[in-house]
Amino acid sequence: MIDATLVSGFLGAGKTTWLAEHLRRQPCDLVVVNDFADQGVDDALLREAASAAGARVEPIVGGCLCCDRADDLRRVLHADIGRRHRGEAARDGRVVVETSGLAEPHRITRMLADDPVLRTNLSLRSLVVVVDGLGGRRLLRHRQGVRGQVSLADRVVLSRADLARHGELEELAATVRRLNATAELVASTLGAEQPVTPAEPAVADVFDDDGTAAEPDVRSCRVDLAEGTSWAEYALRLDTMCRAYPERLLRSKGIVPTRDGRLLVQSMGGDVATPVPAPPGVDTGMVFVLDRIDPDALVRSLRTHVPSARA
Amino acid sequence: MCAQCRAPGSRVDWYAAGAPDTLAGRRTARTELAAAATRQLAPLGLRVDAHPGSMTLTVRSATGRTVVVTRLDELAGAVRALTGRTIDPLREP
Repeated sequence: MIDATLVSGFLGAGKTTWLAEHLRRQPCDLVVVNDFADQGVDDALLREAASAAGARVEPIVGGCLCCDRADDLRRVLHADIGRRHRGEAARDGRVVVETSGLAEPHRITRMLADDPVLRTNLSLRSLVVVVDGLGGRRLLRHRQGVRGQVSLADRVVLSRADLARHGELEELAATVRRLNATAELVASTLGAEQPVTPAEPAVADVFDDDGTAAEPDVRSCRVDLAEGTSWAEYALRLDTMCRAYPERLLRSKGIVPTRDGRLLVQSMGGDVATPVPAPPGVDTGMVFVLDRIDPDALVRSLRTHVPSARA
Repeated sequence: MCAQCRAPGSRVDWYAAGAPDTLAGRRTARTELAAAATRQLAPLGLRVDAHPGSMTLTVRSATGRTVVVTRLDELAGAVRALTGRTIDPLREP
Protein backbone atom coordinates (compact mmCIF):
# COMPACT_ATOMS: atom_id res chain seq x y z
CA MET A 1 0.00 0.00 0.00
CA ILE A 2 1.27 3.46 -0.87
CA ASP A 3 0.91 6.09 1.84
CA ALA A 4 -0.31 9.42 0.48
CA THR A 5 -0.11 12.83 2.08
CA LEU A 6 -2.18 15.67 0.66
CA VAL A 7 -0.83 19.17 1.30
CA SER A 8 -3.30 21.99 0.80
CA GLY A 9 -3.73 25.62 1.84
CA PHE A 10 -4.59 28.93 0.23
CA LEU A 11 -2.35 30.76 -2.26
CA GLY A 12 0.82 31.94 -0.55
CA ALA A 13 0.13 30.10 2.69
CA GLY A 14 3.61 28.55 2.68
CA LYS A 15 2.87 25.04 1.38
CA THR A 16 6.01 24.73 -0.72
CA THR A 17 8.31 26.06 2.02
CA TRP A 18 6.81 23.66 4.55
CA LEU A 19 6.93 20.75 2.13
CA ALA A 20 10.59 21.34 1.23
CA GLU A 21 11.54 21.04 4.90
CA HIS A 22 9.12 18.15 5.46
CA LEU A 23 10.78 16.16 2.66
CA ARG A 24 14.11 16.47 4.45
CA ARG A 25 12.56 14.81 7.51
CA GLN A 26 10.35 12.26 5.78
CA PRO A 27 11.63 11.01 2.42
CA CYS A 28 9.14 9.90 -0.22
CA ASP A 29 9.13 8.50 -3.74
CA LEU A 30 6.95 10.92 -5.65
CA VAL A 31 5.93 14.54 -5.18
CA VAL A 32 3.05 15.83 -7.32
CA VAL A 33 3.08 19.63 -7.45
CA ASN A 34 0.08 21.51 -8.74
CA ASP A 35 0.14 25.18 -9.83
CA PHE A 36 -2.97 27.03 -10.92
CA ALA A 37 -0.92 29.10 -13.37
CA ASP A 38 0.17 27.72 -16.73
CA GLN A 39 3.82 28.04 -15.78
CA GLY A 40 4.68 26.47 -12.47
CA VAL A 41 7.28 27.84 -10.09
CA ASP A 42 6.80 25.50 -7.13
CA ASP A 43 8.10 22.39 -8.90
CA ALA A 44 11.39 24.14 -9.66
CA LEU A 45 11.64 25.36 -6.07
CA LEU A 46 10.95 21.87 -4.71
CA ARG A 47 13.25 20.00 -7.06
CA GLU A 48 16.35 20.29 -4.86
CA ALA A 49 14.61 19.14 -1.67
CA ALA A 50 12.81 16.35 -3.54
CA SER A 51 16.02 15.18 -5.14
CA ALA A 52 17.73 15.03 -1.73
CA ALA A 53 14.78 13.01 -0.46
CA GLY A 54 15.08 10.64 -3.43
CA ALA A 55 11.73 11.68 -4.87
CA ARG A 56 10.62 12.42 -8.41
CA VAL A 57 8.70 15.66 -8.97
CA GLU A 58 5.68 15.59 -11.27
CA PRO A 59 4.35 19.08 -12.00
CA ILE A 60 0.71 19.51 -12.98
CA VAL A 61 0.06 23.08 -14.08
CA GLY A 62 -2.68 25.17 -15.62
CA GLY A 63 -5.59 24.40 -13.28
CA CYS A 64 -6.57 22.75 -10.02
CA LEU A 65 -6.27 19.05 -9.21
CA CYS A 66 -9.81 19.10 -7.90
CA CYS A 67 -11.42 20.05 -11.22
CA ASP A 68 -9.55 20.97 -14.44
CA ARG A 69 -6.55 18.75 -13.76
CA ALA A 70 -8.20 15.89 -11.85
CA ASP A 71 -7.60 13.50 -14.74
CA ASP A 72 -3.93 14.46 -14.82
CA LEU A 73 -3.58 13.58 -11.13
CA ARG A 74 -5.32 10.27 -11.73
CA ARG A 75 -3.01 9.53 -14.67
CA VAL A 76 0.16 10.37 -12.69
CA LEU A 77 -0.89 8.22 -9.74
CA HIS A 78 -1.95 5.31 -11.98
CA ALA A 79 1.44 5.49 -13.73
CA ASP A 80 3.23 5.42 -10.38
CA ILE A 81 1.20 2.42 -9.24
CA GLY A 82 1.95 0.72 -12.56
CA ARG A 83 5.70 1.23 -12.07
CA ARG A 84 5.48 -0.36 -8.65
CA HIS A 85 3.48 -3.33 -9.96
CA ARG A 86 6.02 -3.88 -12.73
CA GLY A 87 8.78 -3.97 -10.13
CA GLU A 88 10.42 -0.72 -11.28
CA ALA A 89 9.96 0.75 -7.81
CA ALA A 90 9.25 -0.51 -4.31
CA ARG A 91 5.71 -1.85 -3.93
CA ASP A 92 5.11 0.22 -0.83
CA GLY A 93 6.16 3.81 -0.59
CA ARG A 94 5.07 7.31 0.01
CA VAL A 95 3.54 9.94 -2.25
CA VAL A 96 3.00 13.61 -1.45
CA VAL A 97 0.52 15.70 -3.43
CA GLU A 98 0.71 19.49 -3.09
CA THR A 99 -2.46 21.12 -4.38
CA SER A 100 -2.77 24.60 -5.81
CA GLY A 101 -3.98 27.23 -3.37
CA LEU A 102 -7.44 27.31 -4.93
CA ALA A 103 -8.09 23.56 -4.84
CA GLU A 104 -10.90 22.06 -2.82
CA PRO A 105 -9.27 19.09 -1.07
CA HIS A 106 -12.55 17.27 -0.43
CA ARG A 107 -12.96 16.74 -4.17
CA ILE A 108 -9.49 15.20 -4.36
CA THR A 109 -10.09 12.91 -1.38
CA ARG A 110 -13.36 11.83 -2.99
CA MET A 111 -11.57 11.06 -6.25
CA LEU A 112 -8.98 8.96 -4.38
CA ALA A 113 -11.79 7.06 -2.69
CA ASP A 114 -13.94 6.61 -5.80
CA ASP A 115 -11.27 5.40 -8.23
CA PRO A 116 -10.99 1.60 -7.83
CA VAL A 117 -7.26 1.46 -8.68
CA LEU A 118 -6.34 4.30 -6.35
CA ARG A 119 -8.61 3.01 -3.61
CA THR A 120 -6.93 -0.39 -3.70
CA ASN A 121 -3.32 0.76 -3.90
CA LEU A 122 -3.18 4.10 -2.16
CA SER A 123 -4.10 5.10 1.36
CA LEU A 124 -4.56 8.76 2.26
CA ARG A 125 -2.71 8.99 5.57
CA SER A 126 -2.89 12.69 6.23
CA LEU A 127 -4.43 15.89 4.89
CA VAL A 128 -2.13 18.73 5.90
CA VAL A 129 -3.46 22.27 5.49
CA VAL A 130 -1.02 25.16 5.73
CA VAL A 131 -2.47 28.48 6.93
CA ASP A 132 -0.60 31.78 6.68
CA GLY A 133 0.30 32.67 10.27
CA LEU A 134 0.02 36.40 9.53
CA GLY A 135 -2.94 36.82 7.16
CA GLY A 136 -4.65 33.50 7.89
CA ARG A 137 -7.26 34.88 10.23
CA ARG A 138 -8.39 37.45 7.68
CA LEU A 139 -8.65 34.72 5.05
CA LEU A 140 -10.62 32.44 7.37
CA ARG A 141 -13.08 35.24 8.12
CA HIS A 142 -13.60 36.28 4.52
CA ARG A 143 -13.02 33.21 2.35
CA GLN A 144 -15.30 30.24 2.61
CA GLY A 145 -12.91 28.14 0.51
CA VAL A 146 -10.13 28.53 3.10
CA ARG A 147 -12.52 27.54 5.89
CA GLY A 148 -13.44 24.48 3.83
CA GLN A 149 -9.77 23.48 3.57
CA VAL A 150 -9.18 23.90 7.31
CA SER A 151 -12.32 22.09 8.39
CA LEU A 152 -11.17 18.92 6.57
CA ALA A 153 -7.58 18.87 7.79
CA ASP A 154 -5.94 16.18 9.90
CA ARG A 155 -3.09 18.57 10.59
CA VAL A 156 -3.01 22.36 10.39
CA VAL A 157 0.34 24.12 10.04
CA LEU A 158 0.45 27.83 10.92
CA SER A 159 3.31 29.21 8.83
CA ARG A 160 5.58 32.25 9.20
CA ALA A 161 5.57 31.89 12.98
CA ASP A 162 8.76 33.95 13.24
CA LEU A 163 6.99 37.07 11.93
CA ALA A 164 3.86 36.78 14.09
CA ARG A 165 3.20 39.33 16.82
CA HIS A 166 2.80 38.25 20.43
CA GLY A 167 -0.37 36.17 20.82
CA GLU A 168 -1.23 36.33 17.12
CA LEU A 169 -0.56 32.66 16.35
CA GLU A 170 -2.50 31.57 19.44
CA GLU A 171 -5.52 33.63 18.34
CA LEU A 172 -5.29 32.15 14.84
CA ALA A 173 -5.03 28.69 16.39
CA ALA A 174 -8.21 29.38 18.35
CA THR A 175 -10.02 30.36 15.14
CA VAL A 176 -8.77 27.18 13.46
CA ARG A 177 -9.90 25.15 16.49
CA ARG A 178 -13.43 26.58 16.14
CA LEU A 179 -13.52 25.25 12.59
CA ASN A 180 -11.83 21.94 13.25
CA ALA A 181 -11.98 20.47 16.73
CA THR A 182 -9.73 17.48 16.14
CA ALA A 183 -6.88 18.52 13.85
CA GLU A 184 -3.34 18.55 15.18
CA LEU A 185 -2.08 22.15 15.34
CA VAL A 186 1.54 23.21 14.88
CA ALA A 187 3.34 26.45 14.10
CA SER A 188 6.10 26.54 11.53
CA THR A 189 9.06 28.78 10.72
CA LEU A 190 10.49 27.94 7.30
CA GLY A 191 9.18 24.40 7.77
CA ALA A 192 10.65 23.90 11.27
CA GLU A 193 7.71 23.04 13.50
CA GLN A 194 6.94 24.04 17.07
CA PRO A 195 3.85 23.51 19.24
CA VAL A 196 1.13 26.15 19.43
CA THR A 197 -1.70 26.36 21.95
CA PRO A 198 -5.01 28.04 21.00
CA ALA A 199 -5.79 31.22 22.93
CA GLU A 200 -8.24 30.86 25.83
CA PRO A 201 -10.82 32.28 25.77
CA ALA A 202 -10.97 32.41 21.97
CA VAL A 203 -11.40 35.82 20.36
CA ALA A 204 -14.68 35.99 18.46
CA ASP A 205 -14.69 35.89 14.66
CA VAL A 206 -17.45 36.78 12.23
CA PHE A 207 -17.31 34.58 9.16
CA ASP A 208 -18.99 36.81 6.62
CA ASP A 209 -18.48 35.02 3.30
CA ASP A 210 -20.94 32.27 2.51
CA GLY A 211 -19.50 31.71 -0.95
CA THR A 212 -22.22 33.65 -2.75
CA ALA A 213 -21.12 37.27 -2.31
CA ALA A 214 -18.98 37.67 -5.39
CA GLU A 215 -18.57 35.32 -8.29
CA PRO A 216 -14.84 34.63 -8.52
CA ASP A 217 -13.20 35.05 -11.88
CA VAL A 218 -9.75 33.68 -11.21
CA ARG A 219 -7.21 33.89 -13.99
CA SER A 220 -3.47 33.71 -14.19
CA CYS A 221 -0.90 35.40 -16.37
CA ARG A 222 2.84 35.44 -16.75
CA VAL A 223 5.01 38.51 -17.29
CA ASP A 224 8.54 38.05 -18.61
CA LEU A 225 11.11 40.38 -17.14
CA ALA A 226 14.32 41.33 -18.95
CA GLU A 227 17.74 40.90 -17.36
CA GLY A 228 18.66 44.04 -15.43
CA THR A 229 15.09 44.86 -14.40
CA SER A 230 15.15 47.77 -11.94
CA TRP A 231 14.31 46.43 -8.49
CA ALA A 232 13.08 49.90 -7.49
CA GLU A 233 10.62 50.14 -10.39
CA TYR A 234 9.29 46.63 -9.94
CA ALA A 235 9.02 46.85 -6.13
CA LEU A 236 7.20 50.17 -6.30
CA ARG A 237 4.67 48.83 -8.81
CA LEU A 238 4.15 45.62 -6.84
CA ASP A 239 3.60 47.61 -3.64
CA THR A 240 1.07 49.86 -5.41
CA MET A 241 -0.84 46.91 -6.83
CA CYS A 242 -0.88 44.97 -3.56
CA ARG A 243 -2.26 48.03 -1.76
CA ALA A 244 -4.88 48.83 -4.35
CA TYR A 245 -6.13 45.25 -4.85
CA PRO A 246 -5.31 43.14 -1.77
CA GLU A 247 -8.41 40.97 -2.30
CA ARG A 248 -7.98 40.55 -6.05
CA LEU A 249 -4.26 40.21 -6.63
CA LEU A 250 -4.32 36.81 -4.98
CA ARG A 251 -0.76 35.81 -5.59
CA SER A 252 2.39 36.69 -7.43
CA LYS A 253 5.45 34.54 -7.51
CA GLY A 254 8.56 34.32 -9.62
CA ILE A 255 12.05 35.50 -10.34
CA VAL A 256 13.01 39.14 -10.87
CA PRO A 257 16.39 39.33 -12.67
CA THR A 258 17.73 42.55 -11.14
CA ARG A 259 21.08 44.10 -11.91
CA ASP A 260 22.37 42.82 -8.56
CA GLY A 261 21.16 39.25 -8.98
CA ARG A 262 18.06 37.11 -9.39
CA LEU A 263 15.47 37.51 -6.63
CA LEU A 264 12.65 35.14 -5.70
CA VAL A 265 9.75 37.54 -5.08
CA GLN A 266 6.33 36.53 -3.74
CA SER A 267 3.20 38.37 -2.69
CA MET A 268 0.08 37.04 -1.01
CA GLY A 269 -2.86 39.43 -1.18
CA GLY A 270 -1.66 42.71 0.31
CA ASP A 271 1.46 41.20 1.81
CA VAL A 272 4.87 40.95 0.14
CA ALA A 273 7.31 38.34 1.45
CA THR A 274 10.96 39.14 2.00
CA PRO A 275 12.72 38.52 -1.32
CA VAL A 276 15.51 35.96 -1.27
CA PRO A 277 18.18 35.00 -3.82
CA ALA A 278 16.58 32.76 -6.42
CA PRO A 279 17.61 29.11 -6.65
CA PRO A 280 19.24 28.07 -9.91
CA GLY A 281 17.21 26.44 -12.64
CA VAL A 282 14.09 28.59 -12.36
CA ASP A 283 13.15 30.74 -15.36
CA THR A 284 12.88 34.48 -14.82
CA GLY A 285 9.47 36.13 -14.94
CA MET A 286 6.52 36.54 -12.63
CA VAL A 287 3.31 34.55 -12.47
CA PHE A 288 0.21 36.37 -11.23
CA VAL A 289 -3.06 34.82 -10.01
CA LEU A 290 -5.85 37.37 -10.29
CA ASP A 291 -9.49 37.49 -9.25
CA ARG A 292 -11.69 39.88 -11.26
CA ILE A 293 -8.68 41.72 -12.69
CA ASP A 294 -8.06 41.87 -16.42
CA PRO A 295 -4.60 40.32 -16.98
CA ASP A 296 -4.03 42.66 -19.94
CA ALA A 297 -4.50 45.69 -17.69
CA LEU A 298 -1.95 44.33 -15.23
CA VAL A 299 0.58 43.55 -17.96
CA ARG A 300 0.04 47.02 -19.47
CA SER A 301 0.61 48.64 -16.08
CA LEU A 302 3.86 46.73 -15.57
CA ARG A 303 5.08 47.46 -19.09
CA THR A 304 4.39 51.18 -18.61
CA HIS A 305 5.79 51.66 -15.14
CA VAL A 306 8.60 49.12 -15.16
CA PRO A 307 10.25 50.09 -18.46
CA SER A 308 13.49 48.37 -17.50
CA ALA A 309 11.66 45.01 -17.63
CA ARG A 310 11.04 45.27 -21.36
CA ALA A 311 13.33 43.01 -23.33
CA MET B 1 -11.25 46.00 5.03
CA CYS B 2 -13.53 44.88 7.83
CA ALA B 3 -13.51 46.10 11.42
CA GLN B 4 -12.24 42.75 12.70
CA CYS B 5 -9.09 42.71 10.63
CA ARG B 6 -6.07 44.92 10.99
CA ALA B 7 -5.02 46.84 7.91
CA PRO B 8 -2.57 44.59 6.10
CA GLY B 9 0.91 45.96 6.22
CA SER B 10 4.38 44.69 5.64
CA ARG B 11 6.32 43.66 8.74
CA VAL B 12 9.66 43.69 7.09
CA ASP B 13 11.36 46.23 4.86
CA TRP B 14 11.16 43.90 1.90
CA TYR B 15 12.39 46.48 -0.58
CA ALA B 16 15.65 46.89 1.36
CA ALA B 17 15.95 43.11 1.66
CA GLY B 18 16.11 42.88 -2.14
CA ALA B 19 18.98 45.37 -2.39
CA PRO B 20 22.66 44.50 -1.83
CA ASP B 21 23.51 44.54 1.87
CA THR B 22 26.30 47.11 1.63
CA LEU B 23 26.36 50.84 2.30
CA ALA B 24 26.83 51.60 -1.39
CA GLY B 25 24.08 49.11 -2.32
CA ARG B 26 21.61 50.62 0.13
CA ARG B 27 22.38 54.15 -1.10
CA THR B 28 21.97 53.15 -4.72
CA ALA B 29 18.70 51.35 -3.94
CA ARG B 30 17.38 54.44 -2.14
CA THR B 31 18.37 56.76 -5.00
CA GLU B 32 16.77 54.45 -7.57
CA LEU B 33 13.61 54.21 -5.48
CA ALA B 34 13.37 58.00 -5.36
CA ALA B 35 13.82 58.25 -9.13
CA ALA B 36 11.25 55.52 -9.85
CA ALA B 37 8.76 57.02 -7.39
CA THR B 38 9.15 60.49 -8.91
CA ARG B 39 8.34 59.04 -12.35
CA GLN B 40 5.35 57.04 -11.10
CA LEU B 41 3.95 59.84 -8.92
CA ALA B 42 4.46 62.64 -11.44
CA PRO B 43 0.76 62.59 -12.48
CA LEU B 44 -0.11 63.49 -8.88
CA GLY B 45 2.34 66.42 -8.88
CA LEU B 46 4.67 64.77 -6.38
CA ARG B 47 8.42 64.57 -6.34
CA VAL B 48 10.55 62.18 -4.27
CA ASP B 49 14.14 63.03 -3.34
CA ALA B 50 16.88 61.05 -1.66
CA HIS B 51 19.31 63.36 0.04
CA PRO B 52 22.96 62.41 0.35
CA GLY B 53 23.95 61.61 3.91
CA SER B 54 20.46 60.59 4.97
CA MET B 55 18.68 57.25 4.61
CA THR B 56 15.27 58.91 4.30
CA LEU B 57 13.21 59.95 1.31
CA THR B 58 11.40 63.27 1.01
CA VAL B 59 8.03 63.33 -0.73
CA ARG B 60 7.18 66.86 -1.84
CA SER B 61 3.97 68.23 -3.33
CA ALA B 62 3.80 70.97 -5.96
CA THR B 63 2.95 73.48 -3.22
CA GLY B 64 5.96 72.54 -1.14
CA ARG B 65 4.29 70.37 1.51
CA THR B 66 6.70 67.64 2.55
CA VAL B 67 6.52 64.24 4.18
CA VAL B 68 9.63 62.29 5.14
CA VAL B 69 9.55 58.49 4.82
CA THR B 70 12.11 55.80 5.50
CA ARG B 71 10.59 52.75 3.79
CA LEU B 72 8.88 51.92 0.54
CA ASP B 73 5.69 50.89 2.31
CA GLU B 74 5.42 54.36 3.87
CA LEU B 75 5.27 56.03 0.46
CA ALA B 76 1.60 55.22 -0.07
CA GLY B 77 0.72 56.88 3.25
CA ALA B 78 2.73 59.96 2.28
CA VAL B 79 0.93 60.19 -1.07
CA ARG B 80 -2.43 59.97 0.70
CA ALA B 81 -1.38 62.60 3.25
CA LEU B 82 -0.23 65.04 0.57
CA THR B 83 -2.90 64.56 -2.08
CA GLY B 84 -5.81 62.86 -0.35
CA ARG B 85 -5.76 60.32 -3.15
CA THR B 86 -4.71 56.73 -3.57
CA ILE B 87 -3.22 55.36 -6.75
CA ASP B 88 -5.16 52.89 -8.86
CA PRO B 89 -2.38 51.13 -10.75
CA LEU B 90 -4.76 49.62 -13.30
CA ARG B 91 -6.66 52.79 -14.21
CA GLU B 92 -4.01 55.49 -14.25
CA PRO B 93 -2.70 56.72 -17.60
